[in-house]
Amino acid sequence: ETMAQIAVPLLLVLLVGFFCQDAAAFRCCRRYSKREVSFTHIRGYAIQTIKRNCNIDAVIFYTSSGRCVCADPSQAWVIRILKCI
Amino acid sequence: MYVYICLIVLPYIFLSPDYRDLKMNSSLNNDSDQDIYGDIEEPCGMEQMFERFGQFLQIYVHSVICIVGFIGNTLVIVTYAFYKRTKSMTDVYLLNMAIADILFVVALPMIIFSEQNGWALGNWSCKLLRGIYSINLYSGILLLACISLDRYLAIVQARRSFRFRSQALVYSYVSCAVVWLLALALALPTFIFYQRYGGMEESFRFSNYYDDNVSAAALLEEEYVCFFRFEENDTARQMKVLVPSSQVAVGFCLPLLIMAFCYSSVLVTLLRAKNFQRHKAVRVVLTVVLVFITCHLPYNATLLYDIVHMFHLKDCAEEERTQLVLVLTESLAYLHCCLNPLLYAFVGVKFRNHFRKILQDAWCLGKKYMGARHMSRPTSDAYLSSRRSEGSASFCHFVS
Repeated sequence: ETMAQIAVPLLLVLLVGFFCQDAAAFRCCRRYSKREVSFTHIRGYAIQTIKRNCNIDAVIFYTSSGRCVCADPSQAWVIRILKCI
Repeated sequence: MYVYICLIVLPYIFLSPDYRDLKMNSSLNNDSDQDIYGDIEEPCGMEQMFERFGQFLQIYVHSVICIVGFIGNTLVIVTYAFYKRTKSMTDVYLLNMAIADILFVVALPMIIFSEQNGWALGNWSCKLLRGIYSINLYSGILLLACISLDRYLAIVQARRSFRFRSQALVYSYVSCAVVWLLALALALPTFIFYQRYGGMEESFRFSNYYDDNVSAAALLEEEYVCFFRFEENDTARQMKVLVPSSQVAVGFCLPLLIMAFCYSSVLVTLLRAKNFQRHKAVRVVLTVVLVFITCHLPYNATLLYDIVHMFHLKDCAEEERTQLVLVLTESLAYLHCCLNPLLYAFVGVKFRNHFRKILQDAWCLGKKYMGARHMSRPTSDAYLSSRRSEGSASFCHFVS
């Protein structure tokens, strides 16, 4: 009886997990873009550091087409754009 | 065995070059602004297909592991709790291992569930579940090393250990306490640095941005994770390497070395002895070591590879492959906690006898209960069944 008391909630948890498939994978920049992005296309930015779940430092530019572009924060053009914003 | 093979072969089907090319081409064709950004890199996580595979693994394989592990380890605990009164050094270790495994097996579905819901229960559930998970991972494996040491003392150093037999139980309690404290110490960074958080460190968007296509950026900001979060760059760099390395060192290499030394000495002693039961003992020892290596070596090797390449620039496909192999080998490592009851407890004749007694008692109780129900209708059928149960009355006496 005690077995059933513990096993049933466990099964329920597993079943609920089954129906709520909204997995969160780690989305990170793993490399930097080679080409520069022109300032006119940029609509925003985000900063990725190794202090969190990602393992390289990067600047992510949001572009007018709705894409994210990974940029090397040590490069001159990236620093220039960040200053402008 | 076939399950392992399938598990190992399946990802290679997804990873095959043809499949990859197909996928890449289709994504390039969809891009309207391909000419503007020639070689841009976008943030990447797991591809849809791999994510599906990971979910399949979590839902089917892990749930089977959890349920089997839960049942097996509960049987071990129940047997020790109710039927085994004289406890030896080995019993103390086996009981502790069953407790560690059961906590692990309960924490695992909760972690999977929380992960799929963005850790909606909050920061403390993240810290606590992850911490408990890592304590039990360490204690379970370190106790395996203790058991090998115990067998070494009992078989190889039989004469010397005979003198300490009276204190043996105290030693086993002390070593269990040391194991749990060590596991707690090793899990401390997880308790301290794991946090639930979402989005990027710092982000900014122009106000008219919302009129545009938001999908890509929204994806980055709305996902919650339970992972390390540090204040300093240096701490991040150190701890991100130190924590998994200590897992490989203390959670695999150290126990492996202890087991290798102890069991090889045990094997040498057993092969020298002229005991009719030695073949069985040799088989058990070899199985225990082989299962440990098959379950934990692939995961720890992958983990080591991941640590070495951690801060390097990587291809998305490469990173994805590593993550997938990590997830796969990890479930192989999880499998160990449901094999432990079979490998360590049920392999013993004494333990099996105690367990048989439990089954008999449970059967008798059930019979008594059913019998009471049958009493209300005095048919020939009930008469027959009561006649039949007389045969089993010999071992059912103490239940009534």
